[in-house]
Amino acid sequence: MEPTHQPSLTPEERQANIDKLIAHWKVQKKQSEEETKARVNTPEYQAILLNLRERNAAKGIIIPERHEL
Amino acid sequence: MQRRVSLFLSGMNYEFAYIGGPKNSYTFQTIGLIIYEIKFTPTPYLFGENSLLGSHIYEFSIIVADNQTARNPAFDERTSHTIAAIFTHFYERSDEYITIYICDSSDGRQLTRQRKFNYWFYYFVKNDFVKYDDTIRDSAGEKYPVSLILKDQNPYKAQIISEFIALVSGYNLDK
Repeated sequence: MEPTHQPSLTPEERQANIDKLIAHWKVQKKQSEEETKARVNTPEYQAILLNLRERNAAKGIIIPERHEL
Repeated sequence: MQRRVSLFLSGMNYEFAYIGGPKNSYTFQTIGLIIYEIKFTPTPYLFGENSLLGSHIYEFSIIVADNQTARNPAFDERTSHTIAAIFTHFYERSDEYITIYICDSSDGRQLTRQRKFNYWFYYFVKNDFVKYDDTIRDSAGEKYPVSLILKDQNPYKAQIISEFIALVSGYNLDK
């Protein structure tokens, strides 16, 4: 990354950037939550969680099974 | 650096996995069977399309991927340590990364989120990082507390914070 000397934005441009940021953020947030909830039960994801469970157990952190909770 | 090492060696954090993808996702599971995803989503438009800082800006988000308790997740210190460890892990790629955290205001609890985030940052993360807080408002007048986080040794720290202040203050001038 090189230093930038970007011309100062006008208040309208800054407003547009903020609005764009918030609009993107709202859309991304919803999509991101849906993507996450959709993939959490996939075999690949469950395999990752199983691996994490084993790694946690190796250092004494026992993640219970669902029925144990 | 010493703090990062102590975080990983102390055993205070849950094990986590880097999933990757366009949103740089991480996942971990707690003893309360809460599954979290931590994401760093590229946000190149914050300072305008032409800003050379754009490619280094990421939006930080914490998503509950699964909660089998049907209750709000209880405070778990290991969760805080884990998110801090993930945060540090992400920043190991580059000292020039810039993270923005936006507090969701859709349920009116944005100030509570901001307070929790501030507590988490200052208690678990603050070494090696600097944070700048402010509030932005969209055209509808909705307020969003935001935090900008970057490495203390970021060579463009002054410029980045200056651009962020200009962005926020410029917007708020007429409000």
